[in-house]
Amino acid sequence: MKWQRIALVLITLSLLAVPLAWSQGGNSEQQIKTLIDQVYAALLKADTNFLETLLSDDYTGIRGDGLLLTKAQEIESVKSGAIKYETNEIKDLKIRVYGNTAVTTVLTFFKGITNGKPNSGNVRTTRVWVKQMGKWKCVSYQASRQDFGTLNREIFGGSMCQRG
Amino acid sequence: MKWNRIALVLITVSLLVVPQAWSQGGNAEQQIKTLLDQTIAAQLKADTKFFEKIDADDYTTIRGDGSVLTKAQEIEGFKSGVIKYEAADLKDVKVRVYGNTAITTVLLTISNIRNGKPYSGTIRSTRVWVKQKGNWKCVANQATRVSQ
Repeated sequence: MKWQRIALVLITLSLLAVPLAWSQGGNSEQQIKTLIDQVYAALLKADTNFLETLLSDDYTGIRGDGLLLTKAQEIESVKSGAIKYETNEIKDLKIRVYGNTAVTTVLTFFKGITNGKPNSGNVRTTRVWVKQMGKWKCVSYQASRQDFGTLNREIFGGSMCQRG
Repeated sequence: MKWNRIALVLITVSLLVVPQAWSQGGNAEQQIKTLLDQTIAAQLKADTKFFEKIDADDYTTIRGDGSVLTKAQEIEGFKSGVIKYEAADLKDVKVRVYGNTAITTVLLTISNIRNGKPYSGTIRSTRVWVKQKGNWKCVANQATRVSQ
């Protein structure tokens, strides 16, 4: 009787775990795509509440100028208006899912105000998403400006780089 | 007796799985740090065999100029000498492990040759590592030049 109960508990736990694992795999790409759209919409509206829930506590972001920001610093920069977005046009989006992790690379054209000065250009970004307690969280972000695209074309020739 | 056996099998499976999960967590940070050092050493030596092995097939790198290279393109760059590192000094290494995924961020002072022209400066780089079939693979890399 004792063994029967233990077996039943373990079988039940396995049956609960399997569909959970499946559900994460099946729709992950769509879930992440939706989150990316929501991120850019939130940035345009300076919706820091959305960023509070989306960014993991240990989130770090590396801006286009190489500065590293924590979650609190990132949210503060949006809240204070130090970074203000007017346009965020997604030109290329790639999503790769590895179980409970997803990696997105995005090329955007952005226009906005950085520290009171107008700023615009093409930016490539990588975001890493990790599913924590059933919810996708953004744990890492990095941006690189495409200002030096012509140099790269000289080096590799047009065919070797993917450019938006 | 039947339930007895089923329970024993399930307990055994659990006992095998749990330490494996622990070992990945416990040593992962050290494994990743070692891989990061090996990556920098391989860049300096243009050791393309290392990158063949360590980079996932779907690896991509976003370079400091915002361009994207695939695994094959980066390896070709090293082979042909178009990408050539002369010095690389690692600082501010941070490793975060999430199960079978790890993220590294580093501050790197580099001197390299690009298309015959010397370049030196500081970059921040993020690498994403995913454990595939028991081996850590680098699936993504991005570099951003730090404004002076």
